[in-house]
Amino acid sequence: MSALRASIALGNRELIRITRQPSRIIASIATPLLIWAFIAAGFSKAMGEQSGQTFTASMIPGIASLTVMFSSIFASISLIQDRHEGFLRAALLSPTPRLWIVLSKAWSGTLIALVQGLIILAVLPILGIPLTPTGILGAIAGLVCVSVSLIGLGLALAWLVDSSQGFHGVMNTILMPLWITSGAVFPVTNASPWLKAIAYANPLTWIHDTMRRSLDLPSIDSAPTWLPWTISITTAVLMVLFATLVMSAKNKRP
Amino acid sequence: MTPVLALHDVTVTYTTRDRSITALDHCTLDIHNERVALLGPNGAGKSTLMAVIAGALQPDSGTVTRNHDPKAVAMVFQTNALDELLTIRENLKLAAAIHQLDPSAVPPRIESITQHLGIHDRLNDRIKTLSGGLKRRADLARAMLIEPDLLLLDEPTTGLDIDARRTLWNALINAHDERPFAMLYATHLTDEAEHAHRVVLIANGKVAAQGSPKDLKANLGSSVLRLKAHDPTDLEHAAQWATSRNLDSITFDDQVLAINASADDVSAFNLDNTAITLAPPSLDDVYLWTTHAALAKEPVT
Repeated sequence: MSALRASIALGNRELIRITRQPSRIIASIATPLLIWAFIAAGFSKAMGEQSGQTFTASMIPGIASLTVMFSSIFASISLIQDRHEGFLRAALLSPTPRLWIVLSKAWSGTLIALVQGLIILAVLPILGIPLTPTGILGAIAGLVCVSVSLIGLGLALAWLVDSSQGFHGVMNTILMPLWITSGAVFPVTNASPWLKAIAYANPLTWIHDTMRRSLDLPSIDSAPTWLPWTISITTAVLMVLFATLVMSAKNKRP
Repeated sequence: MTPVLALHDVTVTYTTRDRSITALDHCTLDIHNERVALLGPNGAGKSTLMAVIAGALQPDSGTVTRNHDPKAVAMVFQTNALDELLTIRENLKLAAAIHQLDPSAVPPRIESITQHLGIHDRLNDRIKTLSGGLKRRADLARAMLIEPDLLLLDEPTTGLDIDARRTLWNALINAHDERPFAMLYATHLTDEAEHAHRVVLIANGKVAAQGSPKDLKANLGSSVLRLKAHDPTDLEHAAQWATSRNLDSITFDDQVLAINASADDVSAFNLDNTAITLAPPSLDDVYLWTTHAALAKEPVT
């Protein structure tokens, strides 16, 4: 109970922080929207329709996930900032288990990311795609999986990398290829075999697929419904455990 | 009396690509409900020792025995462990939550501690708007909030001006006098070490000497002789002169320090281009004597 209270307090801190940094909210929503606007405007004619949906609309889950990805990166960078400012050292010396510290970053980061992701999804009705309650719930679940997975991975990497500059480099090397090969900007089913193999090995592809299925957008029809959900939930859980494991290792640097 | 914390034969070695560095070398130390100053030059092993005591670093060998509530350990770092975007009150509430304090006990404790530290009127101010001294007191309030059995401070006055340092030390000493607990602080400032009941001198990762400031000074005799030379040749002559007077001395930088000296030695001094002073030993002398003697025994590699 005390650990839960500690985790809630730590998470609340992140929420207070973001309300006092409006530029962070604007940047994480505006950047994906601009990327979407330019890619969609540039490629929509060439890509045509996929399963009756325009390319512009079918990109939305991927763009929502990009928004979540940016929020997750911010959440992970805050770990490096906390470490440099000493806040984290004090938290790690406290009796709060590290799993709960990781969970506080995960739930608060996810909540922030979710609000931002949903703002992007709100574009769908404007593009003629109706949002049903089931669709919204499915999309929220998918966004939660994206966020928790990326925050888990981000925290683990942020723990291992000493500087925010280094972390940016590592994240760009890992996250952007993960996002691009996940079918966020092109339909995976029409990709060349080698790219399709990479996409199918990418957990983000399957998390996007859960969102596409929920929103009735083009998905990987050949896979049974349980498969993307199982992969998505398992990835989220594994990433949190991975972050906890990395952060629990005793740090030893000269 | 059972110590609050006991380290026995603790060794910590850092390994880099091309070498290994022994940061703590068979260190043995007991800490009771007292103020203990860890005094030593940069790289002596103070921070590593603090990390081991805090439980943040596992020693390679040796034992750490704790006779305190494991939840009641607080640390003040060289940099503040506060969120700059939060107010003092928000930071303290957060610290209370992560230390799993009873929520009903927190508001009165925040009131009381901030009154004591003179920051009560700034409780609702964000940390980023505070001066360095106020930030430090807010950080101390964070550490004191849990009523620690063991309080660790790693160079707590780094970056503070003289007034802010004095205020912080007054607050610390008052808090400690009111409710004794084990307080260990690392410093390289000898005037700060004077606030301690016991000073532990660390050199080359070892406990080179320890005792009360008074006892440590008494170990150097009633007077210390300092010879300051203008060039290496004069310095060599000064060292030879100290030896010829059967004085126990060390030579470093531009000076010779000799202990157990007397006014007769000053009367007998006849070297040109060398300044001579005779004074009662200070902690500065203890520090220089101990660390340079340790370095002379085991030069840093």
